[in-house]
Amino acid sequence: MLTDLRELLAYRELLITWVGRDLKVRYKQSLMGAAWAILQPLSATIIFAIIFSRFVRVPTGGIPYPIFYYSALLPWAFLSSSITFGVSSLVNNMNLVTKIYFPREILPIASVLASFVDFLIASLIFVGMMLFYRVPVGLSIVTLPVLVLIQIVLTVGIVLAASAMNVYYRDIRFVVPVGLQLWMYLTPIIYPVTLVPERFRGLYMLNPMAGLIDSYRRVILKAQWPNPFYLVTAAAISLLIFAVAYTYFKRSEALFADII
Amino acid sequence: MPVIRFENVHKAYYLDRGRGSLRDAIPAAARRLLGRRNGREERVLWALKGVSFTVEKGETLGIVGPNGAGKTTILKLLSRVTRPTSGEIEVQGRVSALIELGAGFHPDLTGRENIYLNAAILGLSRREVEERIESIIDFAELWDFIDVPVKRYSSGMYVRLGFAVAAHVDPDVLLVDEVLAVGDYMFKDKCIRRINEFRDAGKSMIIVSHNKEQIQKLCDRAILLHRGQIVYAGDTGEVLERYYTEFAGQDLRQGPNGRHRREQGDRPIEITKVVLLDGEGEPRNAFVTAEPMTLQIHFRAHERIESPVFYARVRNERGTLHGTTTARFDLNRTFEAGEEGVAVVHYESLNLLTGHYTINVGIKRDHFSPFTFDRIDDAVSFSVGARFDQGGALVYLPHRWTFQEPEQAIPNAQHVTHPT
Repeated sequence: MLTDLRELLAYRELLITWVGRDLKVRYKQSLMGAAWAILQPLSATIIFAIIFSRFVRVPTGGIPYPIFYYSALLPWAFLSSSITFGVSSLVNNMNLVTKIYFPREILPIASVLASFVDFLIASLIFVGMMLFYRVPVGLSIVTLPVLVLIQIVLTVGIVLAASAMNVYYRDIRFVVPVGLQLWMYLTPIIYPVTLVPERFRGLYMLNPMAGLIDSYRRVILKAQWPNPFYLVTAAAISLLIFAVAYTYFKRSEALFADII
Repeated sequence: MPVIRFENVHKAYYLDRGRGSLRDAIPAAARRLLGRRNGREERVLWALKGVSFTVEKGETLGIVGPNGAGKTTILKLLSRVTRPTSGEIEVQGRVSALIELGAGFHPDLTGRENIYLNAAILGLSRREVEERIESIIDFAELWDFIDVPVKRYSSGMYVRLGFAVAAHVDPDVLLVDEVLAVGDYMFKDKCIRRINEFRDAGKSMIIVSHNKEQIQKLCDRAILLHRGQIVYAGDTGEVLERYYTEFAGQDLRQGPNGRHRREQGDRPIEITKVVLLDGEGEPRNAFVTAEPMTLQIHFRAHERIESPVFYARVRNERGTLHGTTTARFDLNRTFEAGEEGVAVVHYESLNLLTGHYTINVGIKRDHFSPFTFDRIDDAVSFSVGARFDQGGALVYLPHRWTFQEPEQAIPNAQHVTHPT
């Protein structure tokens, strides 16, 4: 895996160029361009804020509903758009994969990074909301980059595995939206972790996104440090998923050109 | 120390993989777990069966062989697009392939953006691209169009840009696959000059081509490949001679549609060989528009046959563009049992434009009869490169342009004059 990572590093310029290509193409094709990246989590936030503050009261611990939801929907939208775009990244570029050599993981990784740029743009709105609600920010905010990094490792792992499997089984991309939907309900997005019964909490935290979303909320909204147990579990599982997925990807890579 | 080393390389393609879906894979996996096999053997195609060769620094190797011999597989292995099933491949230095020009261009991006992208795919750093971009644009002759999305390019412009980028990668090993069959005449010349520069700079090259002259001119050595094995290797001239005497005609009939033939014993008259020649009578299957071309149908009669009708149909991938039969000219001859002969079509001017074409040949009892003694669909294939701007046209109509004075050009309705 180390030699693979070293080769990937040698091709970093291609990775950057390809991310630029993904973004350019995406924004040239849709009129809304960058606005889409902001609107998608924002509209979900508005809907959830209305439903869960008026009709079903979800305890947020005193946090205003819009930022309670936006703080979770923002990283979730990053994950789900990475996977949605990334799963077909190899198949969509088959003319390239069958004709020119380069480390193939560049394609799925680039779709994650392009979604990351969307995520950064959409975060600007969040900064505005934080100022509007006068949410105090504490020293614990320094852990935010670590949280984002863990999420990127996790996302890259999933996208690597999903895109490689999609080469062999073309119906993976139909499974993806269903899987994402289920996963979202298993993650504390529309509800806080405190709603999960104590005795299921350990099992619940095997979902690395659960630990991550909870940590985002603590760090950003409550000026608290992340729960170290949740964070370490999330980091360990993310790394494990990444390592297994990357190994699987490199092993199946040899046959991509023959099969696509 | 060789730059390229192939050591007993095998390559298998598994034809049934990758067509799958989870819906089929899960029950299949369950069956395997339960120890039940579904009985169907996996279909395997061996593209290469134990190929070994080396290329020294500064050497140019030509690869010839009929379609399906494994030439393209060798190039794909060298450019690391695919990996060998067994055996060893060693390549020293950067490899660049003039294979699929413009693969990886994105239609919505401009020429300039695509240069950066394509060059990065081929392994250039951003700084290297910046140093070369002017030279790339010059080479492609696309000064006015470089900031236009490539979806507005003509196919010629597309290929020019693709070649220009690939030619500026500065590789240690250059792979060339039949690319010179495309593009217009002038640009083709430029490409050949560029390839010569590579050779003079001491780079190693591997060239796959059907064009005899190109192979002869560019290669120091050649190998003849047949069904995944090297059948002959050595001096370029000797290899080419062997290829054209032994394979060019005969082997092409094992094309994908060879199965249309009747059973061996059933043929009262049999096509033994189909050969495509140029105006000088040299075997060739890459032509330029308006060149002469000759098609030979070699045959042997097994019984006495009275005036059989020979036909040849030139087709593009969509259908027949031209068909001709000996009946049209009432060419009558009777062949005795055991007699051999050659029916020849002389195409005086090949008025086709850039593309790939195939020829179906056959022998019938008479012009109107559905009864065919023997036929071979896709018996030979050839490519045509145009010297003209074709604007999406299908054929070349021999013509010239002039200007006339108006009074000369509008014919008086009462006095229609016939041009002399």
